[in-house]
Amino acid sequence: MRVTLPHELLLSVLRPGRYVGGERNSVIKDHDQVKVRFALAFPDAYEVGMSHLGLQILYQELNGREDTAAERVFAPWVDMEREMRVRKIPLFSLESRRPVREFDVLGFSVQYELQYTNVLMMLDLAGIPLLAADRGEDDPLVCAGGVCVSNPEPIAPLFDFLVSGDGEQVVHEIIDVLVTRGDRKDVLKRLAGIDGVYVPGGYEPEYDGGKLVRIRVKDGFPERVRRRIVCDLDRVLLPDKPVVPLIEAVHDRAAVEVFRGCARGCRFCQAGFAYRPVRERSPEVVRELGCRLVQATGHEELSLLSLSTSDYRYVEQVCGELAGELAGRGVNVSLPSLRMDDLSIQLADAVREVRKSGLTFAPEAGTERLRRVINKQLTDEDIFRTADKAWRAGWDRLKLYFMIGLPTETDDDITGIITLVRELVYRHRAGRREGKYQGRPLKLAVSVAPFVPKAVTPMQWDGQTAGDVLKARIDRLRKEIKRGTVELSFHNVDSSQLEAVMARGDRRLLPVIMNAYQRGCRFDAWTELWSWEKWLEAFADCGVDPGNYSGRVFERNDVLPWDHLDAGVNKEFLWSERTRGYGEVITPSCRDACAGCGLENVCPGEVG
Amino acid sequence: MRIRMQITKDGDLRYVSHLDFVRMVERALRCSGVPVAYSEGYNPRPKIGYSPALPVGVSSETEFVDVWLSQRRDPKVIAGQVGWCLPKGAEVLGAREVQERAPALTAVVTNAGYELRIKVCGLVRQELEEAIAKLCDGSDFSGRVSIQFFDQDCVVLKLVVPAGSRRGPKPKEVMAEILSGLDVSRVLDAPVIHRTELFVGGEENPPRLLTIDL
Repeated sequence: MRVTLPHELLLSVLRPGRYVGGERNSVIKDHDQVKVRFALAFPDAYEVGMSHLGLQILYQELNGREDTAAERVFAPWVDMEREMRVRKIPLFSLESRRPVREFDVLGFSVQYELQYTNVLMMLDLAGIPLLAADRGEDDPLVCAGGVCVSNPEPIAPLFDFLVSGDGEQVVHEIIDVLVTRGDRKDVLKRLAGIDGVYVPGGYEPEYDGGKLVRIRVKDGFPERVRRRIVCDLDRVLLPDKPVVPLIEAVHDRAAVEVFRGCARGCRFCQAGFAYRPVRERSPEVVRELGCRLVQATGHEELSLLSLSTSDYRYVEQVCGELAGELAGRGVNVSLPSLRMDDLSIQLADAVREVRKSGLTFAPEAGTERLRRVINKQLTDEDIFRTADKAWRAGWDRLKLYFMIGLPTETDDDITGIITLVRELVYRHRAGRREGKYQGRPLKLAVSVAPFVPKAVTPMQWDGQTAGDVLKARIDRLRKEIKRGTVELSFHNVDSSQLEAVMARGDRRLLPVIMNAYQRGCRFDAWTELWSWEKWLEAFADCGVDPGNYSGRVFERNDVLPWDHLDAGVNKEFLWSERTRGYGEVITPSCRDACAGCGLENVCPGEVG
Repeated sequence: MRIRMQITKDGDLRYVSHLDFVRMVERALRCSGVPVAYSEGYNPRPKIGYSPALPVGVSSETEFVDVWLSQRRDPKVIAGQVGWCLPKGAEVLGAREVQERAPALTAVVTNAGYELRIKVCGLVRQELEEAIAKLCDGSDFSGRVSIQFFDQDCVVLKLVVPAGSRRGPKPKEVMAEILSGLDVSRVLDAPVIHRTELFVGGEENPPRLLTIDL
């Protein structure tokens, strides 16, 4: 069956280009010629999902197989959702406009806790039973992958299975099982035997007096599900023909991952720990992929992606080569995620567009003391020196990211942010007067976000600071940092609390999420639709206090809701990092000294 | 060298905004390796000009794009290369060289021709003719509407209005005016609007069709 989208329907919704498909590099296969039909779902608007690299990788991996057809589906915006319900149009894929429930697998890429209500909305619109336990032989298998699988427990019961870690290899092992068919129970049993596949149905959390005391593992399921790690990224040459968005995406660019993982070990960072060890691509492969991408898409920008691109061993070489080759084609190389040091300024200079857009750095904490707690090796001198270099090179727009509510934070650390910002403004002004810096007056953007403790980090035991304390600190920053030169922006405290609840949560939260969804919560990450009131009502309805989840402090020996998922980094190491953090002791980068996190020998030959 | 191409914006591309269409064309130029010239100064932009923007929902076979090249090329070859890089719905109908200093597309276009296709059921022709007459007799209506095709299930109207360098009513507005004079139950879906021609001409000359000599 194919869905028809009447002309007047598309004319009546915002950005109808979200729903029509037909993009360059999209792949349409004959469903009768394949064995497995896979719907790749991203639970957010088209513009957001199309900026996600992981989706493009899986799309090409799957479509590269003769026996599989992969199509994409994104979350319809609320106006389209309303129309689809009224007209009884089921959730459909972009490529062939087939109802998603006719596919064999519906796979969600879950990257952010505030997307959970969209997952529910998409399952609901698709006409697929929300809970895995309620699905029958005719329903597709519903699975999920992505960074939220580090702790997927609040939504785990929605999925028949989840995939932990890198998807490129395991997705083939999964399809190989699906190709052989079998009844649902049998297929899930076989999938559970694949390294990296988590079948929530095989694990039962047990509570005593409200506290999680055990995660009982049923017969036939592994004690812990190990994260999949692809060691040789040079063998993964995808995506080289990503689908080119029809309408403007959040990131309209071609992207090459230069490495995965991170050696820095910043203690708040889930991505850094959840993607260890560092696995680099060789410069030849980066160059080759970069050129192929530009050829296949025509994008104006080629981004070199990683968690900390200044740490890529070959960054100077690759930047220089690519910038040179691509300048003639009108393509800029961009380097997001630069560290605040001299090399970064040199690199940024080498790839600069003639119009200098701003430079972005993340000091994260206002004082050197707090930076040592989070393991960010960055002194105030480093900050001033880097800023000076940037200003001399002509950059007059700077963006700085900070967090508030970090463990051990006091008012002095907030003062630290204020002092730092004032000092930067003062230095630029003085430098301009002296003729040291050319160009326009400084435009400094400071973005402040509440810290959210996440699974698989040394801070996973810490609670999030209470909302009223965070709000008071924000008020202080607002009062004491003068507007004008400095543009201050703050991440919403309540939505950060919800993020913390979900990030540290367990399966008892699912009824809350469902309740919030029934009340109309969608696109929670979008300010225009965010409603804390509705969420509070949902929590109250279910008798759950969000503060108990966001603020709770775990003891060292507590069972954590995600203990049965093995990211590879051992708990002892994380606890010792926590202790070092509280002791304000720096742990050097993996490149300089191995701290024994547990992943030392996983990818032989790799550094860090 | 300056090359003018005629490109369609058809099929589902009608739902894409003009800005997104512009991005699509720029990408196709980059993807095909065409040596586009860039402007000078602090923020070099590719030197490309476009015919007047289409509203979302309207398709067209008359999207004209002027591209300044930094090296001479055969326009036919450019047409082929760019066409290959464009998505479904955007086809390069032709390309030719134009004078470097010729005025911009938005400056020379004076009128636009549209085809308005309406799905109907049991509509009375006279009712339609009266609605059109009422619109055209209105003192501030500056275009021409005629019935190109009429049958039981489908009506096609031809509309020519000032555009580009001259201000004129939007085809959607014209359509709404006409529909307001009809029995609404006879109209089955939103009208499908397709731009079929662009006309150029100074004040003194009668408007002529803008073409590439396909």
